[in-house]
Amino acid sequence: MALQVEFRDVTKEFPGTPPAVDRLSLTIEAGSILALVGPSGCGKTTTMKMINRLIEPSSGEIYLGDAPISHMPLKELRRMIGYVIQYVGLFPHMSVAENIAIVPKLLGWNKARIDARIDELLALVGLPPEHRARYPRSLSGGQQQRVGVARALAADPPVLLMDEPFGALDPITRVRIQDELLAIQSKVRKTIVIVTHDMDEAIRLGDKVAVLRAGRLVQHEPPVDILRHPKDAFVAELIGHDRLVKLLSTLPVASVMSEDAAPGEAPAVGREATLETAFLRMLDTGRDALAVEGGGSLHIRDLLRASIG
Amino acid sequence: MSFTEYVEVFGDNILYLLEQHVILFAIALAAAIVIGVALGTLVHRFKGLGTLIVPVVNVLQACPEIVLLALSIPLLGIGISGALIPLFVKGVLPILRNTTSGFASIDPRMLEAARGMGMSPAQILLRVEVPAVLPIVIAGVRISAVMLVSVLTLTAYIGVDSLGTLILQGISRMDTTPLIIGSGLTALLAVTVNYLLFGLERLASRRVS
Repeated sequence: MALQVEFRDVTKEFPGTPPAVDRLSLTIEAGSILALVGPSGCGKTTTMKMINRLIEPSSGEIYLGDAPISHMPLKELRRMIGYVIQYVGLFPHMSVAENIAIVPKLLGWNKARIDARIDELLALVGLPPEHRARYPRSLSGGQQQRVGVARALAADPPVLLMDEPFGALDPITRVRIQDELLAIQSKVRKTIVIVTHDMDEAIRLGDKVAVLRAGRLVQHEPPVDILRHPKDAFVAELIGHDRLVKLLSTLPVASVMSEDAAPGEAPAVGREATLETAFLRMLDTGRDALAVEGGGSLHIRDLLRASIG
Repeated sequence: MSFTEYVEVFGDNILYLLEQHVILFAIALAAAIVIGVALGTLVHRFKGLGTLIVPVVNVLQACPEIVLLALSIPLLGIGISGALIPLFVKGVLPILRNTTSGFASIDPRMLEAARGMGMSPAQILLRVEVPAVLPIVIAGVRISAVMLVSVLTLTAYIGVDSLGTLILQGISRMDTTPLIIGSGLTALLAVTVNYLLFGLERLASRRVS
């Protein structure tokens, strides 16, 4: 189960400073991932924390499904929302199993149900069952983060908030865990809000990306559209100089290939390979067309078409 | 008088003094723990209070024990209360300091995670803060306890029975036997208390470190 999250004209002002979040209206569809991205101080973390009311908005309203969250009992609201932060969020004095069991215990589940759920979640996030009794300190950063995700999913909440969840991981582990998160999401279909300052991460994870600047929503679109048409210089700068590479790595060959037969002896490429892979194949072989496995072809013109959408 | 003869004749008295010493120690330490943890928690919760309490406790801590005992005679008279109050005051500081620094060492993001999961303030205190602070508080208790065991010998000077009575006897009569028994038992007690609390500390922090 997942619920839609909707911001209606939400403003958050802290005394003596310009608004941290300024008249934000934004809908996060049920079962989709929204990546909130922007430089530090842009209001992305404040925006996220208003969803579980760690921060209360100054004006406006946030809806969880049809219900305005300001009318919901705080405990009830928070137990419907999984919360993942950088791995300091695990309690060091509790074992992996105890960490995961926190919210189910608060909800008064019995021991058998909690135990079964822990096993299920460890399997879901790809940790061996022997890790139940270990303490966070004895786990690697990536393993801790998997436990963090398992803990947030424990009571099967419809919404998941993730605050810079992979910020403390090395780049290789980070990419692997991002892929795992997408695999988990394809099974659990939660409404997920991820705060990140890393545009690569936002593009990789988000069904949509919301770019914030000084508390204002600058652009809110699927990653491909943001890469094709950054709204202004600020968004373009956030994406960086390798915008084209990012775009090509986001799209699969199948999205722009043609059904025409490839010229003889054209090198082959898979349908699900990224356009980046295909383009590299063209550069490596010096050919301007590739044969797509299972029929059809990809011409360099198709790449140009893909880049403008 | 030889060592064995002394033990034979005064054995009951030695046991009595040891018992007195342990009782005084237990009372002083218990009071120091209660006041130290309470003040430490208050200082952590209300930062302004710290600027008020900490200097007072620091000054008391810097005073030599014998001075505190001497000063307590005109105020509290000679006897148990005159001996115990200045001593437990000395025991408060390490516990207070460790309680506040224990709370300060908790990562605020961890507390935010707890709030974000819907834990109530009481649940956060009992399930998150106390387990995190406990090993550090016990370390403070250990420092206080070891100090109290040895400092308690000084109460003999104001007429309170303790192992210090034996030491004082030894000094005044130039008799090494009670001196060695008194100081030896005090040292043994201090070492025992240290090891017991050290074990407790390890037990409490086993999971964290």
